[in-house]
Amino acid sequence: MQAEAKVRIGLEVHCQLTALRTKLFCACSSDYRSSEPNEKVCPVCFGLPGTLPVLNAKAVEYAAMIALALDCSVAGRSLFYRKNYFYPDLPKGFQISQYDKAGGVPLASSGHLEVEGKAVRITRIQLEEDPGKLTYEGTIDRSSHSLVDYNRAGIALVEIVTEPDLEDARGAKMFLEKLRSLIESLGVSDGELDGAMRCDANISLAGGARVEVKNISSFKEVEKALNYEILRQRTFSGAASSETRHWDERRSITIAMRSKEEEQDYRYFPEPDLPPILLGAAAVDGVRRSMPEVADSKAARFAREYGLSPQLARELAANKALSAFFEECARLHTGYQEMAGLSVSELSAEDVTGERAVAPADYVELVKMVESDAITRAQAKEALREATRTGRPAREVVRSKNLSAVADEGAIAAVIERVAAARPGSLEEAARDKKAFSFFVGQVLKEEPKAQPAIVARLLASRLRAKKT
Amino acid sequence: MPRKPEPRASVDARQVERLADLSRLSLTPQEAERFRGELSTILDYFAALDGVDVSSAPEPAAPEEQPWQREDVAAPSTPDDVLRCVPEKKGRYVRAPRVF
Ligand SMILES: [Zn+2]
Repeated sequence: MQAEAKVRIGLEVHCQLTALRTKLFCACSSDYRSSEPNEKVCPVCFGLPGTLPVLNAKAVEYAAMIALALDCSVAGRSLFYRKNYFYPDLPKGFQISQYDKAGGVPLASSGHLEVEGKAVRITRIQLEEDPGKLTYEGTIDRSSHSLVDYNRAGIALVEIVTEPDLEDARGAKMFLEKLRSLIESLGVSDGELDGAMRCDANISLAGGARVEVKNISSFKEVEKALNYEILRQRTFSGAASSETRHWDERRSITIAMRSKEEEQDYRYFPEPDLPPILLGAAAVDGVRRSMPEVADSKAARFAREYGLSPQLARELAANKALSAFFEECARLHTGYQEMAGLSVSELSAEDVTGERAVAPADYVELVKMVESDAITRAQAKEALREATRTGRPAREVVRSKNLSAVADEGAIAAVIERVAAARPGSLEEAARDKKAFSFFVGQVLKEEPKAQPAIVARLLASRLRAKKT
Repeated sequence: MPRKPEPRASVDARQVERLADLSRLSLTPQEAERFRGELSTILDYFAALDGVDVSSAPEPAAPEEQPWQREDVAAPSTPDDVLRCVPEKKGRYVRAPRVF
């Protein structure tokens, strides 16, 4: 059997900076999703002659945050370029974008994002304006006219371009999910919003030509679109020609697009109406300081500072509210592993921020009870569930429900004897086999949920030793 | 002293055809020939600029502080004003010939 040709995938991600209140070059509100068509428009974003764009300072800051989070180097001086093409979604006949050739300098370049231990290189990051939105009169196949809504025209977009470092559709999806959560943790964009994150892909099989797939309107569609296109190219066994295709979401296929433009036809040239973006070392430092910590570096810090296991640190860091809660508790008490473990397994973001939120001081006291064997971990969980349901302090729940671990070893030993009597031979099995031992402990805990598992295990072990002699 | 630009036939008929195609325009042969002439004249002016010796000219001033940026504060949009300029509408949409 012939080995399948290696696949190489590069992505071009377009992400709206939805946290901005206004568009990229005018003061129109960026909140257009529930607006009537052409409601959030002005002479600037409508592309009327004689108007001048003025750059939104916050957009630069947010784009720089994304660049830094992706380990890119930010250009000290980057330029806006005009990309000229004739299409009704562009009111001016050109899109204000950035460019990396013909003297152009994009906002940032040469970064990477690690996905499952492998670095995906980021070629460049640039700021540009979103075009308007087209719909068609009647059916798309027949219609002779398009209807244009310019509410979206001029919305700030960050374009993130990767090297062709991805090897399959699943990898591409993982990359996009990680990128999305990274951007969301920076607080600059909400990927939940319809059309806020879109992507184009280029796909080539070893020995074949590069095919662009455009119009993938959400990250959910990416895996489907890529799998389809890889299969299509394999079927043509390397005979794929260099072309641009369009992802048809409704039919789940890619279709050839009659694209008239080649790169040179866009006649990129420097935007004469906008000064360069200046981001010197001091400005970049300022952005870095104002950035919320992203999940990956937070997890590393949790492992380093609190000695949490990597897995627990990652799970905790992935939840912003829980991370903040944990760090407050960590100022009050040093039982980090128990506090983190119990938070991750028992608490949601709502439990620590909502109306009936657990107070850090209360939580710390509960954890201390577990650590001193006053209550079992199962009892602590029960108290937390009750506390978050009712809004009562967990300590009070412990008291009113009379939760306490059975410390009386004689009582636990008696339960062990009862379990052994109910299952003849089970003691012998527990002595031979670790699994049977754990099972036995489990049976005891079922009989007596207030018993501490560690104490049960110790008593059972000494009971087995006594039996041997 | 600026050098005299080399006169060059800057635009040929095929380039005009390509430009018309990208602009989604259909031109009659007469129009195409007229544009070929006009575009050539314009490009010849730029060719004249190419011939200027600027080696001793000072560097253009470059800003050191970030100039002309805007705070992210919304102002009311002016949809009625701009929609008045639209030649063809359907409801609130701008109606435009479809481009393939
Ligand atoms: Zn506007």
